[in-house]
Amino acid sequence: MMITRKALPRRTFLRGLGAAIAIPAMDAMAPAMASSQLPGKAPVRMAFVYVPNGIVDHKLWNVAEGPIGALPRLLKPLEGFQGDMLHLGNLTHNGGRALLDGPGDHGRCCGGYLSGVQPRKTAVDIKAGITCDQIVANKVGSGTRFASLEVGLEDGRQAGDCDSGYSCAYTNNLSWRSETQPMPPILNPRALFERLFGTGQILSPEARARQGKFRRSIIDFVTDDTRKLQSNLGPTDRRKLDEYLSSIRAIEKQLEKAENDNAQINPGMDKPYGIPADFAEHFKLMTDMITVAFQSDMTRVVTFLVTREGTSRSYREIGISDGHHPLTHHMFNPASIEKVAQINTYHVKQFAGWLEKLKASKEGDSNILDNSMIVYGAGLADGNRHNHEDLPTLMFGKGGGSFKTGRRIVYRKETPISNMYVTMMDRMGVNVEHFGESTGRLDGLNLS
Amino acid sequence: MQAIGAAKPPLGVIFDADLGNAIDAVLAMAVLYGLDGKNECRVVATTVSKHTLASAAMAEVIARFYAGTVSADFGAVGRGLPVGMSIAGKSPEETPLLKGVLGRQNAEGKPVYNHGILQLNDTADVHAVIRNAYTSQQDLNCITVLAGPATDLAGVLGLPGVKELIKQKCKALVWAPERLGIDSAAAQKVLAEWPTPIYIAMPELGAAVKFPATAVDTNFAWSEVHPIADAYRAAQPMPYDATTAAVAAVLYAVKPEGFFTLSPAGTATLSPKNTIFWKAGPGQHHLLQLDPAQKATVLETMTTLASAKPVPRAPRRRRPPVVDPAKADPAKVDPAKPADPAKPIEPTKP
Repeated sequence: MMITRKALPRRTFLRGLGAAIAIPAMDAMAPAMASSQLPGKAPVRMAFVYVPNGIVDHKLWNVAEGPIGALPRLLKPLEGFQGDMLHLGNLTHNGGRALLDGPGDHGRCCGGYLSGVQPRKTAVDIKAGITCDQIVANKVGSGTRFASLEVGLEDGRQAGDCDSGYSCAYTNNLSWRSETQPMPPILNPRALFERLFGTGQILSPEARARQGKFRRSIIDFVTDDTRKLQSNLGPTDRRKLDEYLSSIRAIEKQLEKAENDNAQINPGMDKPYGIPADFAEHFKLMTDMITVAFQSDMTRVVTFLVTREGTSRSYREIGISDGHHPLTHHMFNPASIEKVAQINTYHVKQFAGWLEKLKASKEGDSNILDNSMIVYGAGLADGNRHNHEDLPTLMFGKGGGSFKTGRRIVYRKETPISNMYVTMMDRMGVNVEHFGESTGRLDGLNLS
Repeated sequence: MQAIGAAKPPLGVIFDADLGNAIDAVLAMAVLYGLDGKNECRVVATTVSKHTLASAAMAEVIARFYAGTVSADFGAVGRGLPVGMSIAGKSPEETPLLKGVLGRQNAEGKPVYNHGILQLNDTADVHAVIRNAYTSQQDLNCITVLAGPATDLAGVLGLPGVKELIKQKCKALVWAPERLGIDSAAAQKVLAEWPTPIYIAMPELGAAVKFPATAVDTNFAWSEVHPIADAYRAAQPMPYDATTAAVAAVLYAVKPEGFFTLSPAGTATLSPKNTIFWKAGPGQHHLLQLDPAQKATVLETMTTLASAKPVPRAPRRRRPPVVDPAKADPAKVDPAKPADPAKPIEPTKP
């Protein structure tokens, strides 16, 4: 690394053999940032966290408009984030409805969630629409190492029929680069780690085992650069850098543990190498890396498909051995409803853990959460009814200081969720007149 | 994509009006639900271009009165249609017609007609409602009826891809153009850009077939609580015979044969006085014309349909509820059975 200016460039990397670690925003960058961006202005990030099969009883969230007070049971893990939250009611995805295409709500609701279109009913010649995250990535992605990151926790199948004639491409992808090209999410934490910090090459378990005794932390490969950089930093920045590198080291340790556990639990299991058996651990690993990617401005656009739409995954971690999807068709059986509620709450709990990290990541006088728009939502409202109006939609973060959070806003019925995407794209500096099913923009979000 | 081999349902009707400004749009809604009850059409969207909650509430009162016939055709199951309401411009908050219906109280001082329109977000985004209604129709199996200003339809035309959608799904627009001065720009836009034929029921047509005031006291007498009758009585000092251009528009939209004839093709434009000026020639605009020999039939059909009793229908469900035959209550009425015509039907309680 050559540091030729007193002010540190925003895109500074610690480089070493087969490793390149971008570093987070630091005080030492301020003058440099002032020359290339708005003075002292941190970048705005956008992320979509999608949960499948709707959210049971989300109507109970629908208390009166206005300040968010006590949270309903499903949202209890978000206690403490009321002030960071916008709860948006009555948003609708018309393209998720049958519209003469018969069954297949899971395929439609996910396949068109971020594009506001109705996907073509087919298992072969797929067609949906470019998603709003990719429109933003095309515009702002050139300024970051990765235009966007697509992350998920389950099932990477891209072919076959996953829902009543709808391709698995619709249920297993959230982001689409074009009408016909989905962006498959990265499921394997090791793959994501290597993508962010390494060469992108994932070694086989055997190769990794052979290298094991020589294995060192990625931090070790960039020691020289780290030492040089530290000598040019003030005490605050030095502490920030230490914390940042420690967080990467912690991710490495989690990865190694997951890989070791996998090898010990069942070496022959049909699970990609490096994916933790524990859902919460998997969730944490992936979101920890997204946090690092945001911290170091490696990307500003993330989509996170928590599990595939229509998933029948069971959650033995919390004592639920039934499949998620069958449970959501509860036919008003209280025991099934209770289990779905527990799954929904479990997801929210993991998500709250990520929010905590984002909020703890300082950026000047602010933090990453404040400078982000993190949408937590589902393409189905109620998994039992398969309805597509009044979708459960929460947005966290102030979008770089432009949103007045801590409120619940109920829009007019049938308000397209595409209106929210247009509004978010505005905040990301991408102005479009129409997108998907939009009929305008969401009003009432602004500070003023 | 259209499901192959699927039976074609009755014609879908998208109805937009400045509800509350005149009685003919209210009568038109009654006729529309009368036809829906006879399974001759389906109401797939109701929207109001009058920017006042009372107008949307009036639409919902009528829909609830005919609750059994409300179509939930957006693909949703078991819900009523949301009423789309324009938020463009500003109309007088209430009219005698709206006050007469929404202000009527029972002996306990409570409103006789219940509705769920209490605040803006109880109404729906009017452009989304109309566009979404088109998306759920089979090709050329719906029709649009407009009574009054064209504010809402002009707004819909501004959405990308909607003109092609309308051309694909909608047979025609049938328009009773009244009070166009409220939004002359919208009227011009619709006349210039609407992609299907437009059939126009001019005010003169409505004046030629007047709805008889006597029918309010006779044909509607089967229920003491009837929003259409109350609206009629409140709109103007009784007795008066109401013009029926909007009613004619609905009747022609659903039953194009037997009641009205059409002028040759031509082009309609907006005159400086904000009225429709029609000229024969190239174009796809037609005027509805009354065959004098059919006047009595038209009038009888209008009064019969407007005063028709609601026809309860089974709620639309994805799956029927599981009922244990041993526990079934034989006293319960089968909702699929038609109501006893001798028994007055009370308005739906919320």
